[in-house]
Order: sequence, then structure tokens, then C-alpha cells
Amino acid sequence: MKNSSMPRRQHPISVLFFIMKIVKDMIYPLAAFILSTTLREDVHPLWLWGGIALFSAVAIALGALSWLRYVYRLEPNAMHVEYGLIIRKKLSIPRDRVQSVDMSAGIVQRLFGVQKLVIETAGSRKPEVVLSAVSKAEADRIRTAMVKDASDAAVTGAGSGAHDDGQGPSGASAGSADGSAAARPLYRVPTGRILLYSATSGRIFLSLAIIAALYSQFDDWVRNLGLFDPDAWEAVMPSDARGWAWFAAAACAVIWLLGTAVITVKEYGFTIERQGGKLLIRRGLLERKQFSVALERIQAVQVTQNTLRRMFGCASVNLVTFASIKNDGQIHSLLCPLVPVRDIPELLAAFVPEAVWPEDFERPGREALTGYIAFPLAVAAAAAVPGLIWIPGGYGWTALALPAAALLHGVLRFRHAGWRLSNDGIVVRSGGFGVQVAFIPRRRIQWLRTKVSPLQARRKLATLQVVTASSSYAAAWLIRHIPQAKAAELIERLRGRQPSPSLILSPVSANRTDSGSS
Amino acid sequence: MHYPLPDEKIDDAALRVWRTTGWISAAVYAVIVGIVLWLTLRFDWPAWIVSLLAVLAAAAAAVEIAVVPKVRMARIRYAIREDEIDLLHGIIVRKRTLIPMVKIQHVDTKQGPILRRYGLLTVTFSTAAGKHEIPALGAARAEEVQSRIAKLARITDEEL
Repeated sequence: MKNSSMPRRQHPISVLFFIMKIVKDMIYPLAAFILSTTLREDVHPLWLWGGIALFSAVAIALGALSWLRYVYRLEPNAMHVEYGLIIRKKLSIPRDRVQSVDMSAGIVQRLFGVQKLVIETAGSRKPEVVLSAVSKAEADRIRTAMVKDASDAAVTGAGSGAHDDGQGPSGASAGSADGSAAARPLYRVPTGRILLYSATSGRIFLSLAIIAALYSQFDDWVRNLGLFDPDAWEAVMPSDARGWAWFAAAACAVIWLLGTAVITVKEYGFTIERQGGKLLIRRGLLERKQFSVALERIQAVQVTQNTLRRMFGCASVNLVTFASIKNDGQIHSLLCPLVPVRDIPELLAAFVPEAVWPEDFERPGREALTGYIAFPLAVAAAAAVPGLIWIPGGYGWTALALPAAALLHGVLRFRHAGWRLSNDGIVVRSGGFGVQVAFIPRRRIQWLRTKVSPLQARRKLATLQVVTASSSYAAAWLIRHIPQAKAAELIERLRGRQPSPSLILSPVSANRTDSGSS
Repeated sequence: MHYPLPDEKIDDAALRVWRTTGWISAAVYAVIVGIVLWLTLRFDWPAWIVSLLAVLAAAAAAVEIAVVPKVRMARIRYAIREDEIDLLHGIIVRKRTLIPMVKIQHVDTKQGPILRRYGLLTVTFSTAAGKHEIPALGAARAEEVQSRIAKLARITDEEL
């Protein structure tokens, strides 16, 4: 392939993004300039407009120059990038170090039919390479070349050489083009389910907080500007408690609807595809995003159910990876927004075969119950005392809801606690009002810890902590209040010698040999 | 337990190091109490604030100087095996941490001014999910431990 290692530039439209970055970097001096000129009394308008024109010219020139200077070259096993206006920087990213490749298309990218491409490595906490505009074919070429695919050689027999420019499986339905449909599972989350996911997202409370904060700012701002007559404003606002309650309910409903709409647009058309050893995740209505990650890079898989979603019998599936782009503001990236619980084993088997849903879980014994409820109950009870004393009008007893909730939460946490050990790793279930099930491959465990608190020591109990790497420092899972002998047994099994690398992609063996006895 | 507990101790001088840090905290507490005392006298604050603070500071200092170093010393053990590092540590909560050798990315030694005064070094080793340390080893021992870990960790070159 003659042209594959030729130095290339991004699509010319990326000049726009370079300019935007320059403007962003210079926003403070620019603001200072505009303020200082407009606030002075007798300044000739030419100063202001001339200054802005000069600034724009410089930004455009620098943007164009940055684009010219930004050159990348793709080799079979690495990508080389050169950039920088004054200080030339050279960057080499070996394919072996790539954790994930993201592709997305915002409004500008869509207008010009290009893609934004982000390459992440484990070394840095921010993206290693950001190409703000490359053609779809080019993005696919880079993605295919840079996402390590352990089964490439086995499947195509030719490694990365088999990828022709622009002929990558770009369409969601093109997966079966080469006749190996069986090796390319594809799953599209129905739109109804996306809606349910959005409607039950806990992020709505976050947006609530943000909007409340914005509102308080807006309120001040409106008053300061004097655009509204404060009295007229008061007339619109409710005046009594009942009015406020209705107002708050209506505001919540509107925010909830807005949040649902926003998340639906973001996750619309969520499609998971597995091509041999890599996963391709596409989503988004306005901005189409694509996330590629090699199965080898997945540190753990977690199935999460919040309270609302439990009522609908659905859960979401997350991947713990090194990708620094936070899909949920969480450390996990979404594998599937929402899936009925009964379909989870099949989904996992198709896309992340290392995660095998266990038939049942081992559970902590009754002796653990105290550990789960004693401390939270004590704290909640202490917190309820002032309520009992000082809540007026004979409503003091309502403070008892606090210890009651703590007790319920503790009991639920005890009931959800569970684990299942296999030859290849451990599955850990935990949760209170919601439930999480994490699949942690043994070879991904960075370290293990047992902890014995003074209270546990008396009852010969321990807490086991299993830690894997993730984009934000560490992801830890806890199995609390299990007998010390059990913890030692689990550690003994988990710390055993690592399986040889040749087993990495083999399906998890079905004959799990747990004793189940405790 | 199916496998032996780690049994190697750190340098005895660590006790003195931790006592020294305890005294430094005590000095910091004393300064804080002094400032509050001055504020009390200057602005007529109620006397119970400074008294309470002084009692708390004295108690904390006593625990940090007399109790914590001893308990820490009694608990801390380490073992460097062929395939893992095994640490016993923790003051109130007893912790045992096992770090597989294949997950160790690099080993360093560090030495603050207090450690330097006693000729000790702390060996730290990092995994992709955070750092661990064996505190306060004699210089020769620290070097031995560092090179041993480096050697054992390099044998297996597994990726993240």
C-alpha cells in the first residue's frame, strides 16, 4: 500500500476548529481588550472594530497555519503525528498502546461529511490524538489500523493488510457483507427502550440542580438588567405554599421531559457490533458517535440497575475501560443503555464473552447482617434524635423514617451481596436500592486486599476488595463481611498464576468448579 | 489461611521516624491552639472553645506519638515472592494487600527529610490502579528490595 504511510493532513474544514481553539485560548485577553475599549468614554469605534478585525485575521492565519503544520502518518502498527506552530511536537502512538478510538460527527462535521476522531491511550488522562475533521473513509482506515484486534490474523489471515481504504464495515447493516455474519454479532437497542432509559436516568436530578443554579443566576441577572419590572415578575411567581408546590412539580416535570429528550437524542439508534476482537458502539441522533474498543482492553464489565429500572425489569451494561471520555460522567462506558434482565446472559455472550452470567451467587451468611445494618442504623438513629425532639406540631415521629430507611437499605445491601468465582475471574453482586453485578476477569485484577475492622475481627469476618484499572485511577469492588476463611479461599483462587496469553479470547469455560460451600 | 503470612519487618528506626512525625504534628497542633488562645484573649471568645481544642490536640498528639507508631510497627510486614508482593498494614483496620508481580509497572524509592535523617528509604511500586509502598527500609535493604521487584516484575511483560 503505497499511500498508506504518506503524511496526511486533516480535512480543510478542520481549520475552523483550529481557529476556534485559538479563540478559546485567547478569550481572556480578548475580553479584556473589548471591555477596556468599550468602558472608556471617548474611544474611537475604529479602535474596537479594528482590534476585532486584527484579532480575527490573526486567529484565521494561525488556524490555517496550525492546520498546515498538523501532519499525521499511519504505519501498519503505529501512528505518527507532527504538530505545533512554534515548538514542533512529534508524537508516536504504537497500536499496542491504543485503548480506544472514538468517532463522532457534530453539526459542522455533518455539514461537510467528515468525522471527528479521538485516540486514547492508557498513558495519559486526556485523549492522545484528536483529529477534528477527517473523511469517513479515512476515519475508518485509522480506526481499523489502530484498534488492536487479536483475532485479525485468525479471521482474515492477513492481519491489518486486509483493510482497504474506505471499505471498512461502515454501515450498521454491512456487517454480513463478507459472509462471516456469525462472527459479527450486531444489536440495535429499540428506540422505545432508549426512551425508557432516558426517562429513568438518574441524571435528571443532576440537570435539575444545574437548571436551578442557572435559574438563580438568571434571576439576578434579569433583576440587575431591569428588563422586567420586579413587581410584574412577582405576580407571575406563586405566592403561597400550595402555589409553590404546584410550581415546583411543574418545573420538575418540564425538566424531566427536557432531560429525557436530551438523553434520547444522545443515545438514539444505539448499536453494538462486534467484529472479531473489537467492539464498535454507535449512537446519537444529531451527533453520531462511534466508540471502538478492543475486547482485550476491557478491564471489567458491570451490569447496573437503578431502582426505577428494576421496576421495569431492565438493566444497563457498562464497560470499565481506559477511555478517558466519560459517557455518563462515570468511569464506565456504556455497552448497552437498557436491556431486559433475561436477555443479559445472551447479550454478554455475544459481545463480551469473558463475562458469563452465573446461574446463582454465593452469599454471605447471616453473621454478616449485623455488619450491613449496625453502623448505618446507628448513624441514622443519631441523626433522627434532633428531629424527634424539635420537629413541631406532633410530627416528630416522622424523623423515624430515617432509621427505617437505613435499616431497609442495610437489609437490601445484605440481600444483594453475592459473588461467584470461576476459573477465569469473579462476578461480584452488590447494591442497595439498585443492584450492580460486576464481571472481573482474574487477569485484570491489579491488586487484592482483605480488610478486617475491629468489629469484624471479633466475629472472624473480613472484607475482600478486588481492584482493576480504569480511566479514573482505580475501580474497586467489595465483598463485605464474609468469613475470614472464605476471604482467604477467594484470594487463594484469584491470585493463582495468570493464564497464558493464548487463552485471552477463548470462550469462558462452561464447567465452573466452585464448591459453593461456605 | 492457605498460604503463609508475610513475615519480613521494616527497619526498627521507623519507630523513631513516626514518632518524629508525631512530634511535628504536635507542634502544628500547638501553633493552632496558640492562635486560638490569642483570638480568645483578643476578641473575648468563650473559654470553652480553646479548652476543648487544647484537650483534643493533646489527646491527638499523645496518640500520634505514643500509640500509632507502635501499632503501625507491630502490624506492618511484607513479603516479596516470585509472583506477588504481600503486605500487611493498617492501624485500626487490618489490611492485607496482594499485588501480582505482573501488574507492577515501576518501582521507585523516595526519601523525605525525616527518613534521610535516619538513613531510611521508602520503596513505592505502581500498578495501573494506584501506588503501594513498603515504608522505611534501611538503604541497603531498600535497594535490594527495589532491584528484586524490578527483576521479578520484568520477567513477565504482560500488557494492561
